[in-house]
Amino acid sequence: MSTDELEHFRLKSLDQGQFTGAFIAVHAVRDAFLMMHCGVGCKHKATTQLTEHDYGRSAEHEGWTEVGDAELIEGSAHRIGPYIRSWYDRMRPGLIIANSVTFLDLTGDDTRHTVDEAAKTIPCPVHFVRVPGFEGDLFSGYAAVVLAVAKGLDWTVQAGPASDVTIAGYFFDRYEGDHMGNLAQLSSLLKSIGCSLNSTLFSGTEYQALTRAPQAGTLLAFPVMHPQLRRLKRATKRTPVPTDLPMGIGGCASWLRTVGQAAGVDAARIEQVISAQEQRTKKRLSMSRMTLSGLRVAVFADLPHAVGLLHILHDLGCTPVLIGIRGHTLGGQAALNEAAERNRAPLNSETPVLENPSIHRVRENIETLLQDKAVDVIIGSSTEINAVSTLDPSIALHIDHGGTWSGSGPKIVEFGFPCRDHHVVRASPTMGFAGVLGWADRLINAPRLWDTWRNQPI
Amino acid sequence: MDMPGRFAVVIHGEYDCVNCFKHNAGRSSWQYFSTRLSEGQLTSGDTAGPLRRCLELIVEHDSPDAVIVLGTCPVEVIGDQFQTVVEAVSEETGVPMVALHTSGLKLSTQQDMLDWCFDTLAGLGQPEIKPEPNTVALVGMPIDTGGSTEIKAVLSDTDLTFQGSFPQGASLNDWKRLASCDHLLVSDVAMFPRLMRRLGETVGDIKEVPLPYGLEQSMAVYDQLEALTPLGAHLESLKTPAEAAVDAFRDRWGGTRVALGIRMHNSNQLNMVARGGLGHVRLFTELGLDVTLLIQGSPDPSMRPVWTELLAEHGLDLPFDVFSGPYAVGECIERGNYKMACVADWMHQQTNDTGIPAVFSHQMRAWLSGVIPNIRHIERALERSI
Repeated sequence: MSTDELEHFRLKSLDQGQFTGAFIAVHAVRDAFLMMHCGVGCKHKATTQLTEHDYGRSAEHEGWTEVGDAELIEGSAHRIGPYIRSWYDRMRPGLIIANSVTFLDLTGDDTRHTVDEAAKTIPCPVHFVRVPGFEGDLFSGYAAVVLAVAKGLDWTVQAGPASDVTIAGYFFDRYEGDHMGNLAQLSSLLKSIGCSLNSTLFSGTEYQALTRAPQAGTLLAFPVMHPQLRRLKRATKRTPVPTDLPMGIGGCASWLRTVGQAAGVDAARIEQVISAQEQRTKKRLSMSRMTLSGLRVAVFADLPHAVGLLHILHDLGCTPVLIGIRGHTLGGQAALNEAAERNRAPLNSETPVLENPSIHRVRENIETLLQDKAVDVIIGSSTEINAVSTLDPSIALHIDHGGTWSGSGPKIVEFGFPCRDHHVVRASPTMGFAGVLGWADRLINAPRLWDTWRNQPI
Repeated sequence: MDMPGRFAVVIHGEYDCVNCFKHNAGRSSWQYFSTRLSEGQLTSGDTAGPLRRCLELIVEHDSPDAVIVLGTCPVEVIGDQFQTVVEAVSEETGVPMVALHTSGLKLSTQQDMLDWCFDTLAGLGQPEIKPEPNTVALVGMPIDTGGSTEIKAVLSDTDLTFQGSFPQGASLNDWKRLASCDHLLVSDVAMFPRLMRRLGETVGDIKEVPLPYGLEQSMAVYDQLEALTPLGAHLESLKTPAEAAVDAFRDRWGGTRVALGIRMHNSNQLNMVARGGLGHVRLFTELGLDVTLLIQGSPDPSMRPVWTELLAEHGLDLPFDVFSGPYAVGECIERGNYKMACVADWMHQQTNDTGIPAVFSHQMRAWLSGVIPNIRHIERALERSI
């Protein structure tokens, strides 16, 4: 019992909170700016967390109100207006998101009102987003900005045909080839069933491009927005269609059926597309499946990607041996089971699932799997991989009969936020049918955690 | 976070406060904790209970050699005297525990915090100090790519024993022994007033040396060691090719205009903030490059004498240009007509947009073994400008 109690206090494998999520969302709108009403330490929640994750764009579109103890004592809310105005003059952003932090909220200042007043003096939209650090996570912070932006758009315009689609809640965390590839895949999936992608909140476009979002006839809510469906509906006056991520053959099929139905596409046409894509993808996978089949994989991912990876691993002939759900606002094991069932994602009820695990628990579980020689691949962010790298390599390596080191650690596939070593220059989707092939690539070519180069190939 | 050893760090506050540092680097992220205070606990001041329970559980399960508790802004705002809980649990359990008021509200610098933290770590071993003759330790110095392999190799043929390089790579036990070393080389004495006061009581020989970036500065460090004991052939084998490489570079590229960004370095890296963040400058000037410093700060012309004076304090008389923030660095680089820029990694986009070749300051390697890789790296960038 006290082990579980201590687990509560341990640093989580995804402890990045709403503040960081809000900045990632701001980063995902190319000309947006984050006005942080905070102290000096909080700046790191934005810049430090994102800098090494994104090689495509640096994280300088943010300012802070420079609150120290003196400003706190004399009252600090009055600083927000002048700071917003001067940063607007310097950066000329298309959108400003302002936030505050708990220690300033504790003073009782009405920050939202102050921001709303300042907004009247600025030519671009200015929205306040509440991101307290004692609740929520990365994804709820991101969703809060999507909601704020959606709320600021004009949804009274006449919606276009149902085949014209807007996506809310695409989690765009860097200007690199993985998202380039994914956005192209989403567009292509829609096109394959006669639909078109109007706008994506967010996808790295400028704010002006997002103002077209209300013209779409269908509004899709990606998993990040699932806990906010009612609010999204209220903000947009439309009925959002919740979808999971189109990952893996089964995930893409499920996604196409959901979207197609909402957009009024003929069911037979959808099945025809799915069948053709499935055949083509499986054919292209056949050789790589020979290599990958049977690999035992530990997955650490947020819930929607964990579900997607279940499909992917199935397609590649791999077996998940451990699932760690990063973050908590998108749900735990029950939500995973539900999403897997909804998506027909293969999930063995015996597979251990860790809900919002600590870095310590991740390390401990992988140590056990390595001792038992029960894991071949670890998929996770740099946080999990770094923690696992601190294990004693002799757990996987050994001295052979000739007296030299032999063996290797598991393959490591860096995925999720934050990435440290995996960066993507060319379009390499993780979603869509092409994404399945991309995953095969990544698993085949994954480096080992430790490597003596004296291994049996797999 | 990179300190090896059995210790625990508790961040006392709401859980998002743990995001003021990275979780994906270093050896010890799995030994970090947060008291995860809720809104209710913060507003009612009920913070002692969770902290006490957290500390008790850590002792019970992880048996650390020491626990460090860091206070955050929310607990400072409510006036939480959390050190009383820390002291009480430490006394009850016998595990050394230290409470630090590290909130972002204090008008203190990164240097102050590092000094405070290092002094605390060094203080953990005070009652048991036994002088260790002929030992050498480094404080505030970068390590080479192999840890401290270079200096260890250089000292291997001498009667000096290398105790450790602090903070990078030093374990908790190393910290506890620091005050017992015989000779101490420090990158920036003024940066560590508390630590120097403490070590000054037991360490007989404390010398300030430059950060070992480039040939001259690395040799200045070794000169101090040479004064203690003759250094052997290994040093010569590093120095001779480095000198030749510097000469060859100067012949080819001497006088080339380059921009060197300062005050934008990653402040979590000690060697980037020591000596006013100017530790790399001589690496570039010794190569004969025509260096202009790019300084982040107020571009108001009335501030120029202040910058000039600050640079003079570090013995530098170089041209400089000032930019107000990362968003403006591109413009600053463009107007200088430079052939290359050296900047912090998080300005990569602004720099890249100028089309001027760049290297990142964190890519510059320290010590003599870094001289030739640095030259190759800079040379490759300059060749792109031709």
